[in-house]
Amino acid sequence: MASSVLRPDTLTLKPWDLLLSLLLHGTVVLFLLLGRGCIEDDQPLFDPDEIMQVQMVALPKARGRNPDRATRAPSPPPPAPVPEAAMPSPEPFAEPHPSNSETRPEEPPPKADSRDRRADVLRQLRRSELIKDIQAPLGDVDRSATDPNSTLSPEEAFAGLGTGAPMDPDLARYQSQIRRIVLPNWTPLPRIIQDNPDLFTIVEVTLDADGKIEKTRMARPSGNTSYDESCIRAVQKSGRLPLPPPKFQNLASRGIWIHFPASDAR
Amino acid sequence: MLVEPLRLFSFLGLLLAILGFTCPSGAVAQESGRLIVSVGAPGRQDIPLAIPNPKGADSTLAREFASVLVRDLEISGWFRILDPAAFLEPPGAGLRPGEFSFSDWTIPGAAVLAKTRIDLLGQKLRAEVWIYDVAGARKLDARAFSGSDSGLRSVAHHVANAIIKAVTGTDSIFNTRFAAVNNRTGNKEIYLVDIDGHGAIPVTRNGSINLQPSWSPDGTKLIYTSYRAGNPDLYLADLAKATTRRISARTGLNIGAAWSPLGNLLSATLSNGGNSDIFTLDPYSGKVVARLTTSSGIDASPSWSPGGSQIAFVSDRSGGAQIYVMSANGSNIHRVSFHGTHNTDPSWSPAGDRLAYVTREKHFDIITCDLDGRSLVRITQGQGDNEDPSWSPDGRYLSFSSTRTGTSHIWISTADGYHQIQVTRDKGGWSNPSWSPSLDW
Repeated sequence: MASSVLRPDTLTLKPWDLLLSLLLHGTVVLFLLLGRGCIEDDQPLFDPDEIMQVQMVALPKARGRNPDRATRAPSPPPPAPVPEAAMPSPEPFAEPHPSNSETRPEEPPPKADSRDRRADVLRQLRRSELIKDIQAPLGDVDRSATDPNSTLSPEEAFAGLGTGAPMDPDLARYQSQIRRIVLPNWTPLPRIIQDNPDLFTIVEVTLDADGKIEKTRMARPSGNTSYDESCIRAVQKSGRLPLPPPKFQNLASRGIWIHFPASDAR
Repeated sequence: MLVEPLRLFSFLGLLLAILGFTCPSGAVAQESGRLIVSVGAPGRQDIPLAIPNPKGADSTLAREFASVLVRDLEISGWFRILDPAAFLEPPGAGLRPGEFSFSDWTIPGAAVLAKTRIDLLGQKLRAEVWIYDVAGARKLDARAFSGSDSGLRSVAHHVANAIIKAVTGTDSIFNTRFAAVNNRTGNKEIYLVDIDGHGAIPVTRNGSINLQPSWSPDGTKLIYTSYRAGNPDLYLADLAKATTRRISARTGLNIGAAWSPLGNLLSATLSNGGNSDIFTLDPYSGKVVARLTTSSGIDASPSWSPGGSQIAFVSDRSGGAQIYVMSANGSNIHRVSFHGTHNTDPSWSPAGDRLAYVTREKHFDIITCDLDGRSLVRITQGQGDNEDPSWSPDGRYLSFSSTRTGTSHIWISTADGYHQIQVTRDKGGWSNPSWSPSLDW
């Protein structure tokens, strides 16, 4: 039975088959037309010809150099040979410092979390990652775009972050400029970051035609007041930000969302 | 009979696929409608810290206390201490919640506020510190410390530790010390010195050359090399009992001893009148437990891994001095440093993931690397000669001696090399700093 159905000479087109096909094709055409109308309103995000990959890195601070006065101390003179002597008497010591008794004033606060070795090691690893990040030269890989563990939101996907898709080079350049200005003003308490590495805040900022910050708004609070406040202050303290590239200015007129992730894992 | 449903299903699948491709980008665009940029994770910005003048009846005491405290916090590299001239708080404001206004501290730009009080009660000092998160308008911690009337510096160190712990969540370094060599007397003697470079206590005073102190893991003993008997021998100083005794006086070199993390072994360089090799010794009897290296080259400067399973050392077996790592029984020797032609003085980080060592180019400089010899981080470059690296117990800092100011002094750097500060400033040159474990004395 099945083999006869699949033979071409046995295939027959019934009228309602044709009708159903026409109906579905018509629906597809209709959706294509509507869909086209729907996305025409938005600015194109990427020009494929311009695509390049970049890595956002913080530039290391310049190190202060003291005058280089090489005055390497000469090696100590060799001591005169002395016959093996009897063991010397104990040598002078000052008294060890008395240990300080520690108490808490009234209203004792909750004791800080005790951290085990593992936490310290993890912190060291995070730190070494940060160090590597800071020291990395301006490379050719968009770290956020190539992060296999990236779990960024649809909004970030929209901007080309963390999607695996390369970021628009103008947007990448703009992000780097914003980062250079805002990051030095951002001083969240390390303890908060350490205890809550998943904190994530979005601050919306509106710029005037000169780049002066007109308005800041907490678009997405993290739930930690101190952390959120540090993000808002970082933007406000910046005072002025560069204007976005022309092709993004229409989008930016509705507001620029600045993301503040507590860790690179976000 | 199955053909019609299959066809219908395939048409619907095609339809859904087309819908899926046409709509999402528009939907995402509509969802945000904003230009999005990310500043990335926070870097190592210095935290703006306000420390108003300490309260207390004795203004001289308060000034001295504040001076030690502020210096400690500067050394820590965590903070940017705000200028008191910018403070707006009225003089009558108190230390406790409700006794002052956070808004007085937001305008000067403080992220953290540390309010202190110091009093002399009879023969005892009592210090109080209240630490606040200004942005969060909340108390982070509050502590009180007491000590003898001569222990002002020690009390201030404890307050500094409390502030750093409250802000960063990690223990700090002001309950540690250096054992280091000073030549102020014309000889090279070993001293204990506070992390801020003050409070030097002599350990040796024998008018000879004493070098390379190394702390026992419990912080109660030092092993060091001394020429007091004419030969470079190893001596054990018991800091609690104030006694010293020689534990290795073999012919030739007895130098560069380092305690194992468990405190049950020393690794040291012995030459027995011939080629120098690395041995393990019993730390109290000085008896050789094992010979670890047998190469025809010079092997020296052992440094234990924090777990005690490996030892980094220097060897010239490949020509120039380079850093090698071996198992603690002397097997599995492999070279780690390949950058430069002369690398010495390895020091294993407390986390076990990095080695600090001295490289000689035009000058002597400090470099750190991972255990494969890669991911090099240059701590110093061309700032005089920089030698004798030693890690802090928490691995955040490195100490070393540097001649960048003309005289050799102890310097501290954060492990990334960004924040460097001179610790000792007094008469005489300092060298061979060895960072103690956390001490309770």
